[in-house]
Amino acid sequence: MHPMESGQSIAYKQFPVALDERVCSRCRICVSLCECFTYDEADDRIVVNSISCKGCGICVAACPSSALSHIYDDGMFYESRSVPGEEMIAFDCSNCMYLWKEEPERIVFCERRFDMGKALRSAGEGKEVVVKRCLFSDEKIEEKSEKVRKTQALLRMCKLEERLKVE
Amino acid sequence: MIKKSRAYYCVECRKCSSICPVTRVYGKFSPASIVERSLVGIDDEVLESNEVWKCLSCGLCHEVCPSGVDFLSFTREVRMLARERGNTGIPTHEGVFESIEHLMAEGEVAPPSLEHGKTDEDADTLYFAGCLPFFDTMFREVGFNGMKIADDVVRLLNHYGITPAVHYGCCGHDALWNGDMKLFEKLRKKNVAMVKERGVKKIIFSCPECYRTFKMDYPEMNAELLHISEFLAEQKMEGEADDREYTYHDPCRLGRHLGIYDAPREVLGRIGVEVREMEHHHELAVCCGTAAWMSCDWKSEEIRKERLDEAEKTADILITACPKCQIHFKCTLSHEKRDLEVKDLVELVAERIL
Repeated sequence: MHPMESGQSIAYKQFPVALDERVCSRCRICVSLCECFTYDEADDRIVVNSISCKGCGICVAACPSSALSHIYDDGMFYESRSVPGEEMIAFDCSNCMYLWKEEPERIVFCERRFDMGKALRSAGEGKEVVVKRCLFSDEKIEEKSEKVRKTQALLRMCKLEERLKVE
Repeated sequence: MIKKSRAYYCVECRKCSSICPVTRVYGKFSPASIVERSLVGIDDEVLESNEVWKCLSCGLCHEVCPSGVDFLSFTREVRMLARERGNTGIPTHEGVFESIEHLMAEGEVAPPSLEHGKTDEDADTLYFAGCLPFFDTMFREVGFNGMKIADDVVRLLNHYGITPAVHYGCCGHDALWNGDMKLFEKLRKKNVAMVKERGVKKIIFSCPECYRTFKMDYPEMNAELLHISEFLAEQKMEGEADDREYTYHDPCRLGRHLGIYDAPREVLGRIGVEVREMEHHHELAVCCGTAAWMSCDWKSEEIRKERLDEAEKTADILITACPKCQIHFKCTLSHEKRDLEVKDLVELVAERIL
């Protein structure tokens, strides 16, 4: 069950985004994703406006150079208390708090923060990869997420396409 | 490790650091200082740092070293030690390619069909197409068409009377250069068994990395190995000159690692293309900025921009013989408008003579 569907309360917390300029390649993928980022042509750098950051983690998941991170009070991923007894690594998204949940037989991702490398690795280990639709989005995943589409294509070439399920 | 790479012979002249493309954009990285520090005894600081993942293994340092220190094998060994300690670097593209290598080591690749090329699974010539279908899926958005390269190679082979068998799969190059010997050994054994089972006599490559790995890192390989540019250089062909200017980028695996500089230029000459050399070419060609899908950051982008500047000054079209070089250049071109087109050697040859 989706944690939001369980009806349990989910705590909110702000984790503004931070950019490590030493690692940033100026590819501007983040600029295309979120209004927090602008590209400064004169200085050739990405400028971050942390005030509008909702801590959703989409930019962190999309950054190819791992230059983006969210600042945590405790220096750790925030562990949600919404599902007692189950380990859940979570971001404080403005929508819900889901990043991924790993179980012995399967791994569940939020479509918005889908991690291709981890998904492919899990599929290779024999796990079922489940992508959950964002509860606050009306669009269908297939129409939106390029990453999910690519992962499906890559798995098809490895004859493992049945391991990826979109719910 | 120190003995194998001749690190003892380092005379601390620092020629390597003065030519290293990474050092040029990021002064804190220095091949000479890593070697010097390791001679005193390789310390935790080196093995746990991100430093060990910054080398592009392009081999430029080896070209200028007066003592013949093999920084490439040194880097490989250091990465093996770093990996043992859990320092695995920052892979690019969310680690997608590392995951794909694992998938290929375990399972089979469903062969995608070629548009025009004719193949024959029982042929005694094999075209090892490597990861092209995977790169194709990942990089269509920057204008990289990997399956067209595979199709062009097969069409060219068909044109010269060969109907090859085609194999898609990972050669283990990236695992080897990222110090993951377990994965590399798995892939090596799998490929050697595949070649034996097919009983092929000749293997043709379009990717210099696969070619280098089969040639230098598979000691038991006894089939004849050829890069497509070497194959084409032996064939008869002619083409007409056009009014655009061309330059050729030497991929590091094909050039410095294997010493093949003339074959691609010869092929270009025969189809009527006059190659105008960039500022750095042949042994001193500059790398495309990233290797083995590891650490792509602003330094890589800076190196790429410098290389593209050189190319833009020299010609209208940049020809390369490595799919990865093409992907990297096209990535930069996708967010930076330049008066330059990037193309693979086989694409151009197929356009001209077929």
